Amino acid sequence: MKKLAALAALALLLTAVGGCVKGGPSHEASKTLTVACCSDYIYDLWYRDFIETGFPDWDVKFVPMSQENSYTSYDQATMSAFLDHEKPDLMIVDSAQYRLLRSADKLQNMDGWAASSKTKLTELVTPGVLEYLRGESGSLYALGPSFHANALYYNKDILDQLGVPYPSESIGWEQLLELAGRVMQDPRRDKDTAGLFIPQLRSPFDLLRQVAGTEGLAYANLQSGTVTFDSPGWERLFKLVVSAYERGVFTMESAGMDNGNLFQQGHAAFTIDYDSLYPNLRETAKFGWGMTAPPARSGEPGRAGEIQMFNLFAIPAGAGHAEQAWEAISYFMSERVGRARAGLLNADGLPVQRDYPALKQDSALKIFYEPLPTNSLDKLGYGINQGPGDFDASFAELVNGHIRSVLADKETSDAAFKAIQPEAERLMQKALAEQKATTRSNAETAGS
Amino acid sequence: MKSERDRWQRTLSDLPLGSGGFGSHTMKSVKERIKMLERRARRRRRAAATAIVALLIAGAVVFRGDLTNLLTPKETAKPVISETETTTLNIMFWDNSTFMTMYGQPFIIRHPAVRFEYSAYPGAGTGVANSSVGIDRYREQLQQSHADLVQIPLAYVSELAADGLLKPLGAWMKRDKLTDESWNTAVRETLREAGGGELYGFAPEFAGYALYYNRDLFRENGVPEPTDGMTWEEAMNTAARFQGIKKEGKPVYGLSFGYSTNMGFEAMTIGDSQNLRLANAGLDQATANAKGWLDLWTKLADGHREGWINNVPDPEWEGGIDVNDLLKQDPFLNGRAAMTYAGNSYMQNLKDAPAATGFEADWAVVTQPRDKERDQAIGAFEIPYILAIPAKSASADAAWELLKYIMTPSQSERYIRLTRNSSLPTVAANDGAGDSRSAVFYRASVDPVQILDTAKRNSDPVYSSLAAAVRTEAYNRTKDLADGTLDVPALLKELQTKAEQALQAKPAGGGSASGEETP
Repeated sequence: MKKLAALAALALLLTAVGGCVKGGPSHEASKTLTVACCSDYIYDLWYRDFIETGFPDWDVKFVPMSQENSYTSYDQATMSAFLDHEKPDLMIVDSAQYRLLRSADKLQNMDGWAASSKTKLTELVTPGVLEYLRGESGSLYALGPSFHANALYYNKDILDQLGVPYPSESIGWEQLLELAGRVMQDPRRDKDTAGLFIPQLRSPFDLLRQVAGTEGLAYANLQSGTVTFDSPGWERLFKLVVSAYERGVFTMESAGMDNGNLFQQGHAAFTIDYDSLYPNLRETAKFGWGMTAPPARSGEPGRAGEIQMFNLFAIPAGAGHAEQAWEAISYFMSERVGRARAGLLNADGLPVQRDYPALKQDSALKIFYEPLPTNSLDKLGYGINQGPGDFDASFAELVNGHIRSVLADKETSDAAFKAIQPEAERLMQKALAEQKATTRSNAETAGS
Repeated sequence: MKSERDRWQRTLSDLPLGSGGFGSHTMKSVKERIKMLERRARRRRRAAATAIVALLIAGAVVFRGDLTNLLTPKETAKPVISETETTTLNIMFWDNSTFMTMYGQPFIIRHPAVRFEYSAYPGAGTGVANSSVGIDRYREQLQQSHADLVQIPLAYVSELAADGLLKPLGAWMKRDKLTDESWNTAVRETLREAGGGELYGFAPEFAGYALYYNRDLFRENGVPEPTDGMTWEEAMNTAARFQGIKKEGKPVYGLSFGYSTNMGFEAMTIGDSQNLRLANAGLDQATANAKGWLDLWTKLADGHREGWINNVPDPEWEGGIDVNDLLKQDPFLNGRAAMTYAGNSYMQNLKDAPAATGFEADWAVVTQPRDKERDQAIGAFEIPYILAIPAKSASADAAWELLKYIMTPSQSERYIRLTRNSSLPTVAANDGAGDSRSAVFYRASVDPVQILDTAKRNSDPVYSSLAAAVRTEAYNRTKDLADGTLDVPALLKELQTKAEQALQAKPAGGGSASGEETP
């Protein structure tokens, strides 16, 4: 009888403890989160399942920032109105919208959140991505679940045929252009074969800008309104690009992607392209190919290539539930999400988790995860102007014009280089003056 | 995201680590824990231990995860699906990337270490739960492949289960306290019928027809609105009241069939809902000119001739057809048809119509009209496929977790979102998900024996080739029809001949799945 009473007591105890455990974290007061992002469709495709799984108890509200099949471009005023009206806690934005929000000081600095987290970001996220996001300022205002990075891909069949060596891991631009030149000058080369194919390259300036990006050189300073082309670094790169054109590595008629992706078609020895080419080649390439890190910065072998992030998670300054927003962001950075994404078919890029190549069991992916980037979210990135107004476009035309005359033997490369700085300064003055005039007329319109 | 139903769902599927602490466990893990407790008990050599263990066993079933926390803080039992060690599930599904979008992706997000492999689908590339390849190919694949989850036609469930090739799901359901009470009644009853009371597979979705109507047109013309469960005769009479009505100089029709205007298509579609057949059950006699068909064709010909059924000939489409062009072609979506008889996917057209055609009418929907000879049951109801676990699956417990997840309200909400409100999940989604007007499909009652019988007939390769031949002939013979020129008896004679030829061409030994003749 005593025994039975003891058992009954134990049963009660178990029930009670069971109840306590059940009443634990999963049944806490409901948390809410308002997410602003993209279109419904994109949110459903890339984020909703994760958020519902990570936070099944939360009351999550989604506010679309664009309609299906259309892209809404926000200016400062519409963005402010959107923030005031929807009061999002978490925003998922592209880099242009990020810069808009950042320049208006509408985002929270995440360094405090990151420092207080139990698992350090650096243990989870690949260092290159964190460096890209911190950029010049060194502060963190955005994170994102995915990134794109580029690599140097090469066609082994073409290189073997011509006896040109495969590129080494820390190859620089000079060596790469040299190898591509050897391909172009080889009489055995098929006449349709290019040495180096760069999808976005349409003029010598595009090449110069990409090479200078690797070296971390800017030709102008937007803050001070000065031209910074007149330096030994720029002179070396300018002459490198001119000589590549002189040796026929590229021609003035480079047509970018007009004829499709030459490398994918097997008609280029080298290409510098993004990670998305990798699965593509793995599935479709009918030739031998390899990939390695893109050209590295001189004297800094571990710094190579560019990163792009199209979906940035940021916490608005006025977020009412910033803590939940940070929890959601942390979840997207977690190993758990990285592991899940290794099993999914479609993703919006490479997951940022540093262990992803291991989770995916594909060590070739390390090429995209190991190097530190040569660009950042706020410097030398895609779509970032270096000068005011129309300066960048007119500067590009100026440089292309001089390279054209060098190639036509109307000018030496020395003379061309020397001529650019003073002419560029005049373009800068003009752009600054125009900008001032626009500002004044805007102010007058607003004041009238 | 926060409702009773979702909480219910969470008790069914594993919770992610860190979001609550405990997940669901299978008998296997419960047994492992019990063994562990037994070993401890033996070490202590106490007489009372056995009794306590017995209590713990009883408790383990009730408390499960809680017990783990209480008694074995450091030795948590292994769950069926590990968070970090790979669990591979082999899937046999008509299209692998569709599988991933519909089920694979959300399941992997919930169980990050799950990976999928695929077995060849019988008649791959030919569509969902394709039955034209016959049951034998499915039988072979169930015996030979390593599949853990398979997609099969409803019609084959009974036989494949009788052959012992499918796992019964009842024991798992009982263990996990999963009931089918929240399912659509028609689906539940049909699946139970197919399994002789037991469930051998789940049907995540179903399909049906309904009568959509433009309330504005009914109000403007003083015609009483259609009602749930009306007969086809009543529906046709209602449609005829719109004869001669014009709007902005263009005719208004009483009845249309989406953007289609082909009388052959219309006859076959209504025939389905009236359970009209093109051959008898034994597949030795064609019935394409039976009385039911004659009445139906005659009524349709009247409607076309008198102009109360949309009678604008189908345009000749060249090349690809833009969906928006189809919507523009549809009189209902242009406010010029009082009623349209269409499937559940028409909900998607209605959703797209405001942008495509400027459609702004107040529309509503009632259950599909029924055959007057029959009771309330409807005929045009379909369970497009069944998901089942092969008896020889090596990862049956993990496959069960996936199957269980597929039947949750949150997954139903995904269907509705992904298909833009046009799919009909068997498990009702949370209130407020989707258009409440889709409830019409859940109201309709079916006769499960009839539905299963129809599925079996349609899955018979002989009947399906016969039906295809008759449909093609009916379509071709009516596609260029000028008003009032259809000689219905002559047409039916032609169709009957086509059906007879198809029966004569059937291979020796027949392909009939049931083979039994029903009177």
